[in-house]
Amino acid sequence: MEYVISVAGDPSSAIGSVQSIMEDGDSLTSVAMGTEKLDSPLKECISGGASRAFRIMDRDFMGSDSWVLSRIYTAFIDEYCPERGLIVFSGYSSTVPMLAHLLQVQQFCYVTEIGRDNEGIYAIQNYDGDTRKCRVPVGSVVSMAEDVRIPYSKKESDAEIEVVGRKELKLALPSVGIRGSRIITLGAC
Amino acid sequence: MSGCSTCALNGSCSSSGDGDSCEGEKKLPPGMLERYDTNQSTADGVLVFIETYEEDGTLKMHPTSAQLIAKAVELNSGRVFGVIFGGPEVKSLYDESFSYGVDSLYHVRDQRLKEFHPEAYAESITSVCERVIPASVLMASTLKGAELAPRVAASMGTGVVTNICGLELEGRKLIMFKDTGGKTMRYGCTTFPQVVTVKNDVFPSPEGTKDRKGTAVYWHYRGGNYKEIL
Repeated sequence: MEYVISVAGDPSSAIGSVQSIMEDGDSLTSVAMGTEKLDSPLKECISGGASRAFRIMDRDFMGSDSWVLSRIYTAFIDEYCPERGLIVFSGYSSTVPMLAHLLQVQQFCYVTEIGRDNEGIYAIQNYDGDTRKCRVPVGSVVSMAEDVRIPYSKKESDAEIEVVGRKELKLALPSVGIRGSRIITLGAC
Repeated sequence: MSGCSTCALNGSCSSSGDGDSCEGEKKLPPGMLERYDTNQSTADGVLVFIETYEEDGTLKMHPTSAQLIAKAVELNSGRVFGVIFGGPEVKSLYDESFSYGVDSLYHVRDQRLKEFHPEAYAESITSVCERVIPASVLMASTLKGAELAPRVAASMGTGVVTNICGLELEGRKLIMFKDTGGKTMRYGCTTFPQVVTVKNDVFPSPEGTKDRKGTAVYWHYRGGNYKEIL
């Protein structure tokens, strides 16, 4: 099974969570969307055992809203991780539920713990102190709660960061950036 | 099939079939096409997701949901629709919803939806939207609202603005205000419905009008997208 970690901020909890459920033969892929600043958390994922690392970046993506971002992520997942087991975001954003809908899978947000029992993978969600434990089907999109710290162990990997853009993801120019966005900025007050 | 070469009534105007032009557009009164944009959305009204919570065994409406209903009335953009989830216990909130200004309350009556299942909630709200075609969908910026709104927006191929701190209406278009990096920015949505989540206490809590009536509609969730809660 291939696990995908999507990095926005500190990826350590996402790496720790995925490591806790990985079995022999499973692999880890990391992805981030943005500038070179994201190379640092991607390298952290590599040090946590990611065998592949991608940074999605293209000038054509500038000005994209969450709808377009989720479509870019969907294109990436379809193209590079068609056999994914779980997609884990290091934090919550509007992109998470949108991506889950576009992939037609379940979403699990504000997750404080991911684990594995005899029946499969489970997640514990925390809605402002109201916690619940859910079964997580294969293919689901998970986003970690911001305030959890799950340690991870260092592993060997010689993966390098690959930059992918609009053409690699086979996205039409009018479907991305400001032109593809549903939300437009009208200006400051 | 050969149709008229100049008018939009391809295949149904009197000249179709012989390849001639009916000059349909030229028969319209002068300026009519410019005046009427026949390609625009007919979306109208506001739909509010009514979030509930339990306190001391009593079901209550989230205060931001009440504020949003009142704001929807104030926007005066047509009918105000409400969507609420749960079993028969939700009936206790009908009168309160109507008193704040809900005209039609869609009660997705399913005991399992007493728990928050974002996939089933989103599918239900989307199906209600397909029925009532609202111009805007408002939700509270709670953890549940923030999780639900983007899924609802994605299922209708529209955009979402979260955590807004102000709302204005221009025609049927919402102008959404959001604090970003110390500045207040204005946002618009190019598609309908416009899905937004609103921070708590941005709008005043309504008093409610006693004995105000509305229509309650039982809505059946036909999907099976429930989470397995352990």
